[in-house]
Amino acid sequence: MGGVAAGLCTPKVFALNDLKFKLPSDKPWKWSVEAKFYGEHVLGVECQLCPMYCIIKPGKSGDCRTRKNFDNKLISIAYGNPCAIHIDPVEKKPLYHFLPGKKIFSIATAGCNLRCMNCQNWTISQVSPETTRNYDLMPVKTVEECLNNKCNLIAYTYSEPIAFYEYTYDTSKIAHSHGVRNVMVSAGFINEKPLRALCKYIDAANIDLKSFDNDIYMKLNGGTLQPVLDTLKIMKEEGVWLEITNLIIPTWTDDMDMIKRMCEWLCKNGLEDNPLHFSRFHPMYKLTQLPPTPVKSLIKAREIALKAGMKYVYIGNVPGSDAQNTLCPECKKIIIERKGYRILQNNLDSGSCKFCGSKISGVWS
Amino acid sequence: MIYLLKIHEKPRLGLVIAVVILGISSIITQIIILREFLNIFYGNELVMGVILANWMLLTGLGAFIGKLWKYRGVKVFNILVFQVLIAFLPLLTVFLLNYLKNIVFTSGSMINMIEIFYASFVLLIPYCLASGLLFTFFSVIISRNENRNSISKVYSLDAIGSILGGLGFNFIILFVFSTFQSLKVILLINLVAAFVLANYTGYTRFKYIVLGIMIIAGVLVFRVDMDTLAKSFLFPGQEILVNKETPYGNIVITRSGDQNNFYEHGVPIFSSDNIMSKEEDVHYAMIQQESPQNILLISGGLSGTIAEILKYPVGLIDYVELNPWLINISKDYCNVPDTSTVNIIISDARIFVKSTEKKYDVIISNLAEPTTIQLNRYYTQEFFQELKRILNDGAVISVSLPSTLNYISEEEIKLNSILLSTLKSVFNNVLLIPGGKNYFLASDSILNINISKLINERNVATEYVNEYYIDDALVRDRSEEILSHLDNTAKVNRDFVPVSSFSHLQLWLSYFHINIWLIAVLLIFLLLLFLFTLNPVNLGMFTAGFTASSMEFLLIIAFQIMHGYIYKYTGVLITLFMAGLAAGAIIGQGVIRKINIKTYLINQAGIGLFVIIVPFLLIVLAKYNLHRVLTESVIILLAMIIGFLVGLQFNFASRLQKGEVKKVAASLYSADLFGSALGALIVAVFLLPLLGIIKLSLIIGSLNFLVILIIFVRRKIGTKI
Repeated sequence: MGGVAAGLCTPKVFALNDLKFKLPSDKPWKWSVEAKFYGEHVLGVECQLCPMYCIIKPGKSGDCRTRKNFDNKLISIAYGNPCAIHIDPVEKKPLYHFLPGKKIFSIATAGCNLRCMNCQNWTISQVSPETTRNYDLMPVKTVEECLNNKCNLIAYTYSEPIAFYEYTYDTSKIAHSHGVRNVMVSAGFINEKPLRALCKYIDAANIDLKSFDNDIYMKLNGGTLQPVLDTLKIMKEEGVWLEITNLIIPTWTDDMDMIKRMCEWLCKNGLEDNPLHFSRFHPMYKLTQLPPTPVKSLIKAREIALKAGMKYVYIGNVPGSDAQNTLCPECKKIIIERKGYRILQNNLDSGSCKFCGSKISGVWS
Repeated sequence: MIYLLKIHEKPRLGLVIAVVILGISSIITQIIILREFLNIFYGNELVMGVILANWMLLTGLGAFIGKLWKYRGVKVFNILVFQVLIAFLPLLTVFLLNYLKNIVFTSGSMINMIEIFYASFVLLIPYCLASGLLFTFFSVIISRNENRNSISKVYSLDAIGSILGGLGFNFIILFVFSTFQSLKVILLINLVAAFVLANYTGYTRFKYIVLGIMIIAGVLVFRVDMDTLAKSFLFPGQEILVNKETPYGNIVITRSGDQNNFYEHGVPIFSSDNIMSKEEDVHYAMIQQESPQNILLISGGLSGTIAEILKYPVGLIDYVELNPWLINISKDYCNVPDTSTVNIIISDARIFVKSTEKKYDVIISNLAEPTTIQLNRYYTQEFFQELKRILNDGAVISVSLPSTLNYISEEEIKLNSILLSTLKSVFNNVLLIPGGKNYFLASDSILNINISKLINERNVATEYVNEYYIDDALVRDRSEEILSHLDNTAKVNRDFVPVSSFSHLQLWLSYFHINIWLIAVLLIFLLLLFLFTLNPVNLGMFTAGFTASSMEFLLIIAFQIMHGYIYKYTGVLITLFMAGLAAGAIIGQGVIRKINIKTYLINQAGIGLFVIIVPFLLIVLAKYNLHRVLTESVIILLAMIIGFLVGLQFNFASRLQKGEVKKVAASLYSADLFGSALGALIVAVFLLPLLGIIKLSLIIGSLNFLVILIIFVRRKIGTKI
């Protein structure tokens, strides 16, 4: 990353005070653009990007802290100002069936439309871009930096790309025109129209299906379940390569009946070919009084998912686990053997199992 | 009402016993409730201060409410009723705390500061109001019986009770009983006290009612295993294997699936099967040495780290752990290799490091983050210098802070910068390895960040710390990026200027978007409010309380810095401080016959002067590294002197304050408590970390002189005492 940081302009610290110096234009600062998907409201504006439908009064921001009512015009202030830029292995997102072994240029701005109590990136997701130290990296420059660092993939990740929708949208569009592919790592809490618009430029996504219970979604994440399920269906329809992550949190999301229902739903909705990653919870952010997930629970969840009909089920955050390997659903032989973020062997032949010829779902080239 | 005719309201001995028992039960209840709150909420100074402040505020309020009773209307009967009430309230409070935590708040989550404030306030209301009210009742009845102002006597009897209770708890109850068993003992003591008092005073019917309650309580309460029941609410979905109160805090071991989880103070410290953390804790440091022989492991040896160290052909592992119970209890539930190479030492790491003559090649500190001033001691320049003394040439030490993963916030920058500049002030080279935590390696030799390469070259068998998970180039880049944000000129963390714990507090508050300076403004406002609204005598008492709690805190910390945390010694220090209080109050009453405002102000000046002298004495003690017994004795003597002066001040105040006994008792007691609460909070959270010990003492000393000035000016302009 040092190479990336060195290649970029020096990180700038923006204090709240910066907002006081209004630019001569109608924008609060350089890193802003008029938001897509909003409408008028008697109290100000109504943001229509995500199911929160925030009513935002003049001078105020939405729940995501990135969309601000500026003279009754909704402005995204998370545009061209990522606060985190790193290069990661694509497996770290996690994406196991999408260009294995590739490096991915990963960016995030501050802000998120959810309030997960176990957020591992809370120092950026639960604050506004006005308070983080940001890079000056407009969409064109983002793609340039990605290419300068010899990456052909950009991930919109860490915090929540939906919260920096316009930046993701514009960057993805430019990236495509340069042959760079786009990956969205998201909680999928977004409305249909903006999602379909974005899907035109998104090649792959990892959607965090946090649980299969609306109550848990509300208590633990500050969101609701149905919009996330809709996102999964829409992305599938739009042809985005989709992988799903389910974090198993003891006492919250480790109910095996719920996991069974979730897997049945995924299969019923044609997602059985999409990889499902069960991830191990570690105490994080505000959820610090729970133990890590027992490995046994993850193994059990995997068994349930396979039994329900999911074809590719993985276990994450457990070093040394065999459940990192891709097995052929037909002949059960190892197609891709992984250790950590590395590929030890790859037995794919033009997207098919080299042993039995069965097609293995994914984007392999 | 016929039985009332037989009642005599002047049972001297009965009342004396009752006050002492109130003191005993109050102190034990306070200790247990505070421990439980810290287990369930979060154990830093701010939380401790807030809970204690609520405790004192509500007790003060209870005493204040006592004023509302008509003087003649206060009967022994009132005391009896409240005695029965406070017998049950501690049990109920602690049970509700355990039961409601995961119902009212998100299960498994950390509670925020505001929630801690109101939750502790609400839960403490019943007990604290009742015990405060009882203080006023006792003062009124005993003064009336003795036909003089006996508030100071009640104060000293209460303090004697506190001494007995403190000793009893620290040296007996804690070792014999569990939390709820201890609370049942309190229940019994209070009921017996009520029974005895009812017997003395002739409230026969009440006596039998108490007896009946005792029998019912015996059947209902004593038969239930409330400890396991209460913990089952706190650890849902886990089988509780061990629940043990130890002098150093509560230890719970649970099982979920095939995994054992270890909690200390309610916080998970490690679980079996955590490959990532045990490997990272060990290998980053170990791999730096060609052939490490002598290893010092400070804490965390039960989590599998010893087995990781043994992957190298080491000659000796000294594993230092503070809490002996943690070792004894946990051995059955985790895999500690049984080999002669491993030497388990039960000691505070600072004591061990100071006293050992051995030299080490690698020192790994797995202690918790500097969340408190007590833990801050392991992140100071002085401690690192002590470590350096026992290092072989070119040896390496490892300490860690929470991970800053993908972004480092302003608060994290401060905390990491302080550690970096503190390490740099002692060692030539410091390396930061970002991982599950931010690992700081320090050495006078060259350090190597190519961990995977080294692991490969030395052929160490690892699951996680290897080339498959750790890309040396990416780690180096991330390390450089984090370091580029850190401030090399940040303040150095010192024993007597604990900036790390303050910085950690800021980080913790940022979880809840709370600005620490808002809390500072609120506290200063409260301080000014008291300074300018209390009448002169109450103001003197308020300041004495403020000074006493600050100095008590300072002395405990000073001792820990010099000689480590010794549970029993801390208990003795607090107890002898209380003894000083009681002695001051008693001697003031018996020896100094005539007093006036001058005497009061002279004593206040004495307190101020004493406070200013103390830090210099402490620094001399620390500098010359005197014999332990001598240091212990001097610090205890200092605690007793400050206790004595404050006890004396309470006595003078109770005699100087004009008005009805109930009003005097209530206002003085509450002024003392409010002062103590505010002192503990302001000093522990702000003044000590920001100013250091000398400036802090100068400020507190000056506060006493300022109060003298305020009282002087007010008297000049004619304010009545």
